[in-house]
Amino acid sequence: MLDFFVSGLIVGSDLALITVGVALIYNTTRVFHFAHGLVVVLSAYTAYTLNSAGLPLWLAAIAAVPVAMAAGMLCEAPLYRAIRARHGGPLALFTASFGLLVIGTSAVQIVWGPTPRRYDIAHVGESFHFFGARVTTLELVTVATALVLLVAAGWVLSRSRVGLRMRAVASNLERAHLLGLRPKRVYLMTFALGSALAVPGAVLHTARFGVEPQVGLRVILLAVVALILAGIGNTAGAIVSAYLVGLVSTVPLQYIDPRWSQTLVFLVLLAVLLVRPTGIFGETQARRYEMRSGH
Amino acid sequence: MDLIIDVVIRAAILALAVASVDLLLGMVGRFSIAQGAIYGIGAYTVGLALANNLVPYVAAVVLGALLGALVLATVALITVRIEHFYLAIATLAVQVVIVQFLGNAEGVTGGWAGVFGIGRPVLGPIELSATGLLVLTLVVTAAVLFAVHRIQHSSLGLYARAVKCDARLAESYGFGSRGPVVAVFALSGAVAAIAGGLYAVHARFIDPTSFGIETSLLFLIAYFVGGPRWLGALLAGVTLTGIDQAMHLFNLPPSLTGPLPQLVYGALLVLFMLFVPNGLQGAVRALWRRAAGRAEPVHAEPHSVHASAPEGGAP
Repeated sequence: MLDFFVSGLIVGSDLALITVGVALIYNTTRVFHFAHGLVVVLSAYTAYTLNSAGLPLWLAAIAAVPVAMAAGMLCEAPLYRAIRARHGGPLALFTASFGLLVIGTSAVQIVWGPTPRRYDIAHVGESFHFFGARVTTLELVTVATALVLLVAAGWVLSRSRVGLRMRAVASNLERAHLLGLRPKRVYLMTFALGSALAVPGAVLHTARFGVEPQVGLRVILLAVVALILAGIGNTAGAIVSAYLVGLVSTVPLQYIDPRWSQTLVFLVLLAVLLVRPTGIFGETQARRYEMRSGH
Repeated sequence: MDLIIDVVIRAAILALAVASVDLLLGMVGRFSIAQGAIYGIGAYTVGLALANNLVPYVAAVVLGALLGALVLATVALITVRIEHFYLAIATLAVQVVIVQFLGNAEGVTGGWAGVFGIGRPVLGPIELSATGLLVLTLVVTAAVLFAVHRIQHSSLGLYARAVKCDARLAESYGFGSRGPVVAVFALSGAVAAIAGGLYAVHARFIDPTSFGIETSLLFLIAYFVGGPRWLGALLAGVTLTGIDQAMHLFNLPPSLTGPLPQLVYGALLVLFMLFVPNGLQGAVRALWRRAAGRAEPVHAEPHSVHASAPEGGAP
C-alpha cells in the first residue's frame, strides 16, 4: 500500500510542475494552453540532445529553460494574439493550441524518430528504503525538486511584483488595463514562467519514462484532468489536484489491472464534473461572473 | 477503379463525420473531441454484429446510431449548464474511456487486436459487392447530409442557434437551453455512428487505434478546412481524403508516414482557422455569389466558430 502511495506522490510531482504552468497560464490569460505539451516535449528533447553531447543532465535541463520559455512565448505572441484579434473565443484558442501541439509533436517525431530515448545518467538505479517503501535516487530528486520549485513559484506569485501583476490581470482584465499594467506584457511573462516550470517536470518525467514524441500529449492530458478537477481560478488547488491525479493513477493499481489506470482517471474526472462542475476547488460560476464583470 | 471506389467511399464517410462535428460546433457552438470514439462505437457495433452474425447490417447500423446518440446525449445532459470548456474536456474524457474500453475489454470487443472478417453487408436477399457498397455509402451520405440540412433550417435549428449565441438571453425568451442542446448532441452522435457503420464494412477490419484522439482531431481539422453546413462537409471529405491519398502516392520513407500527415493537418488547422474562417465552403459560396451577381451578406456567417459570444475582453 505504501509503495503505491509513494509512487503516486512521485508521479504527482512532475505532473504538478507541468500542471502549475498550465494553471497559471489559464488563470491569467484565459487560454487553454494545450500546446504546453509541446513545451514539455521540446524541453525533454533539448535536454536529451545536450545530454548526449556530453552535458550532465542537470546542466542540460537548465539550458533547456530558455528554449522552453521561448517556445511558450512564441505560442502567445504570434498565434494566440492573432486569434484574439480576430475575436476568436476560448474554443478557437483551444483549437489552435491543439493544432500547435499536433504540428510540434509531428515535427519532433520527424526530426528525432519515434523510438524512446534515454538520458545518460548514473545513480538512477540506486534504491533504498524510505519509511518502508523502495525509492530510487531519481525519484527522491523528483519529489524534492518539485516541492522546492512549487514553493518558489508560490512565493513569486504571492509576494513579487510580477506575481502581483499576474494575479491582477487574472482577477479583472479591464481594471488591470485601466491601471496601466500592460496585460500583453504580463501575458508573455506568464507564458515564460509557466514554460520554465515545465522544464524540470518534463526532464524528471522523461528520465523515468523515456523521451518520446508522444510524451507531450500524454502528460498534457493528465495535466488537463488535474486542472479541471481543481477548477479554474485556484493555482494551489491545481497543484494539489495534480498530486491527486498521481495518486488516483497509481494507488488503485494494487487492486485493478494497470491497463485500466488511464480509464479510471478519466472516469473520476467525469464523476467530479457531474457533482461539482466547476471543480473541487474552483470558484462557483456566480462568483466568477461577478469578478469578471466587476460588479 | 478499386482505388477510386475506395477514395470516394472514404471521402463520403469523412463528410458524414464532419457533418456530426458541424451539428455540434455549427449549430450549438459546442466542441467535442469525442467524435472519433462515437464513430468507433458505430463501427464496432456493426463490426461485431457482422463478424459474429448477430444481427443484419441495417439493424446493426441503427443500433450503433442509437448507442452513439445515447452516449453524446448523456454527456450533454451532464454538462449542459457549465462552461463550454468543461464540456470539451468531458468529451475528451469520454473519448479516452471509450477507446480504452474497446481495447481492454477483450471478452466483448476482441481487445487491441481488433475485429476481423467483417463480411459484406446483406440487404434483403442481396449481398453487396464493392460497387454496391459504393452506391450504399453515397446514398446514405446524401440522405444524412440532406436530413441534417433540413434540421439546421428547422425550428430546432433556430432554437439551437439562439442558444449558441447567448444561452441566458434565449432562456429569458422562454426557450429551454437544455432541450435543443441535448437533441443536437444526440443527432450528432447518431450521424457519427452511422459513419462508423459504413466504415466497418468498407475496411472489413477494425481496431481501437483507428478511433483515437487523432481521428477526432482529423474530423475537427476537416471541419475547419471545409467549413460548416453540407457543402463544408462534402468539401472537407473530398479535400482531406484527397490530401491523404496524395501523400500516399509520394512514397514517403517509413519514418515520415506517421508524423508527416499529422504535421500537414495541424498546419492546415491553424492556417484555416486564421485565414479562412468559414472554410472552403465560404470561398465557394462567395465565388458563386459573385458569379450570380448577388451581394455579399452583411453579417458574419452565423455558423462559424467565431460567432459565439466572446468572454471578457482581449488586451
